Amino acid sequence: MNGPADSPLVLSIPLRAGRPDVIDEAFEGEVTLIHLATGLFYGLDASASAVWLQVRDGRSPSAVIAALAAGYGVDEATLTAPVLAFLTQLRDEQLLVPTEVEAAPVPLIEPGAWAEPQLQRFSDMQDLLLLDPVHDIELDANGWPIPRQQPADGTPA
Amino acid sequence: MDERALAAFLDAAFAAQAEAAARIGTIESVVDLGPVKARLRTCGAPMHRRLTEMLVLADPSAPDDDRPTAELVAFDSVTSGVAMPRPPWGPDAYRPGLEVEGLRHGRFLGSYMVDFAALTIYDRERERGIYWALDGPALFACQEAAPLRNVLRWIAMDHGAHLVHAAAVGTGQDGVLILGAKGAGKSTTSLATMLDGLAFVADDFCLLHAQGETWRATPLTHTARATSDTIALLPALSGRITNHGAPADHKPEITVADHLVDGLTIRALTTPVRAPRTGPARPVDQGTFVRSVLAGTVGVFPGMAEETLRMLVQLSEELPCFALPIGPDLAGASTTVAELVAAQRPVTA
Repeated sequence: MNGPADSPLVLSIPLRAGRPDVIDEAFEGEVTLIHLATGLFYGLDASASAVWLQVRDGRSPSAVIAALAAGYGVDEATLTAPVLAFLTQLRDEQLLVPTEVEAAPVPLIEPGAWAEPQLQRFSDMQDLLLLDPVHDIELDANGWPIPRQQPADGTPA
Repeated sequence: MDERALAAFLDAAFAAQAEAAARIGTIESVVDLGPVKARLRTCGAPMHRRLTEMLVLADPSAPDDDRPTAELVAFDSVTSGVAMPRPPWGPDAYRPGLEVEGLRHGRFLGSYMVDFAALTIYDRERERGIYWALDGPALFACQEAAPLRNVLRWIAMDHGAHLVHAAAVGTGQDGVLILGAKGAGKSTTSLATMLDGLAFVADDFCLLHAQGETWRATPLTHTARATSDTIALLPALSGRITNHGAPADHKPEITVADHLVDGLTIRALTTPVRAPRTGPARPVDQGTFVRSVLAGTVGVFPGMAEETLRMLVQLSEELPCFALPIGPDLAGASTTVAELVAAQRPVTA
């Protein structure tokens, strides 16, 4: 399975975006990703964006590599290592998850020159979410969470 | 989460609100969100005051126009003596950012604030929502600027409008949005320009809706909030503080009603950047701008994150983006904004 982080990717098993926690938007030819659960967001360069747009709806690594090779006019052997490394990085960041369904191929839009995909990671939003953690809670009589009450003597509940 | 279970829960919640209304009566108010209105019926005066004291309200007795109207009801258990039905989701559903798993997108949207035991849930299909708090009088309006902010945002978004985390100031009919995360300088910059006489819509959150080919920002609240640092930089704000005696962890609330304008046509997106001295706005490319304001724009709201990201990108495609160099000499901020607005204002024949 293309599941656990740090395990090698299987070329034939499709991956897809980890919806609904992962959202994406492309502008100026580059994709921005947000992982809503971790609070991290990512900037993808042009090649990385091309890889993402190929894989996000559910494509196997081998299908992604084949599509990129055709689109960029680069042989698959050249692409395999950097694309697998990048897909592994996306999987390890929980941006991609394994899926059983292979989606239809996606046309590459105006591919420029191929370069090794780069992922920039930003933690600004993580800091923001961490300002607002789900507190230590208990449920009231009707099942609604309230902050856990401390005993009158101040010892932890 | 099962949609039928959520629908049944909402029906039970509305029945509880109806019981509360029968016991202590309701007060009606209307919030104008641009292309849509929200009609709010709140049980009891204490809760009504907490929910609406910062909001710019429309006249509830004004005749209906042809705009759609979403219906909101609100009650609290302490004032009404009516309990909220048990939630259909488990204790593991509560997420950071006030989100509740199963209520982040789709037909039902919701948020839950543990500190105040306050639930917002909205049925987008029926355009009906409910705000419930365990103890209404204990709610502090300053805690969320306006407790109804989340549900008003969802209502607005379903009608092509947005509630954005941005200040809006300008001159004449035109202005700029000032975006950025908490602490970026939105309030300080916008309040400095307000004291210099610029038109003021918001220091932190405003409504935004398309108006022809342009975007119009309108105020959500008539009160701003400032840190003690901002008040030290702008001592003229001291005389505008409305919540003297509030607990120490609550920001001073600043009345801005006398400077508030109905709305501004937005001509540029900006974000403050710290600088040795305040200077002219400088253009920044779209990618740099979006990434610099992304966390503060998308990360502050529960639910509909994808739509918020898309809105930010759309705005940045349609409007020029600038950095506002802001230094300790805040007196220059109004010149910076006024010059930018003048430069971006369309030339009329």
